[in-house]
Amino acid sequence: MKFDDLQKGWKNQPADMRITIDPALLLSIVKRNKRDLESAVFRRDFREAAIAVILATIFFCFGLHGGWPLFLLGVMCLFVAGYLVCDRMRQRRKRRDIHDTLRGTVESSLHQVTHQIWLLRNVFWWYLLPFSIGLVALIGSAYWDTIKNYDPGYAPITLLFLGIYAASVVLLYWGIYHLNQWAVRKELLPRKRELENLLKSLAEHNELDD
Amino acid sequence: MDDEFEQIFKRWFDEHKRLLFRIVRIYASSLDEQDDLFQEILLHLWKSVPNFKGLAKETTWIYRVALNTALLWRRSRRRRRKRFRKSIINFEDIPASPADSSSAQENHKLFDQLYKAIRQLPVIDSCVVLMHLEGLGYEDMTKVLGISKNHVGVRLNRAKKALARDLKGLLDEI
Repeated sequence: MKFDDLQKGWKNQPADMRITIDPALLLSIVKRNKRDLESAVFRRDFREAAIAVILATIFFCFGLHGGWPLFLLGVMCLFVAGYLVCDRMRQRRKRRDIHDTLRGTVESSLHQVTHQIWLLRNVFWWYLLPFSIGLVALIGSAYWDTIKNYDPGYAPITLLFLGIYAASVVLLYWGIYHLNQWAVRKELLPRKRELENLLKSLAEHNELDD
Repeated sequence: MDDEFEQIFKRWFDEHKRLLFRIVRIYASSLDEQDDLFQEILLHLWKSVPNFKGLAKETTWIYRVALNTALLWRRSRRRRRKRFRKSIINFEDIPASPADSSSAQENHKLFDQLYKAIRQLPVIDSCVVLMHLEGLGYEDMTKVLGISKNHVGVRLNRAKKALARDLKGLLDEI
């Protein structure tokens, strides 16, 4: 058989499987899938922003009585949430549509993955550090208040308590940081390599053409 | 407006469902995967309808959406998506009947092997072969893939040779 004969037979190839689709069901399911996807994305963004706003409100309320470190912590919560939401909106605007050329779509996906890797690799700077600043201010001021306002004899026990608290926070941060780096290694880097290879195979002959 | 989009989507689906399924069959092997990819392509096709302004040919548009989705589709996310979806396709094997002519049985075998051979090709080559088999010209292929005609030609030649090698005995040397 010649390739041209194969081409002729391709569109009329015999079915070895009967595929039935309920047309009435199809559109409703496709629409529902779209709604589910959009609401899942919205819920995720809303949840993250809402948690930050609630935490910030709590810190601001306690800050009225507890002083500026709690205000600072509230501001840092808003900063992290604001950064995350703005970044998502910016990336969504940059994303190319699925009806672009394959090359354009792969380039866009690669950009998204590269940005995600950058975000997770730098999680310390935009996520952990702002909270750390707030927490260090809070712990420092609590210790300062204790030694200033109470019996200096309480200072060592306060220091011990705050030390345990700080160590727990550091441990939590270490966990968050390494979880993010694990996600980069396990999921994002292989995906990036996959997309780079795809893009390379789309580009290799174009370079020769030039 | 939504009614108009629905009409376009339904027409696209009616006219191109066989093409969509041929694409799905190349990029997903198990029935479970095929159902997932099929739904994924339909979802993107539905989302793309409002953006279709008629500047590109309908077929080019549909190929772009379907191939982009298939190539960026992630098998590993299938289970996560499955929780929210129900199967929309019923697959039913049609056993080869003894009454089938031997040429029909050979055809079955040939296309089965052809699908397997296309799956073995590098992904871009598989896209080019698929579009070639579907009868698309170089011009249309460049619009779908975003590469030059020369590149398409090189890819197609290479893919044809690889297929001839894999389907030795069934397909003549190129």
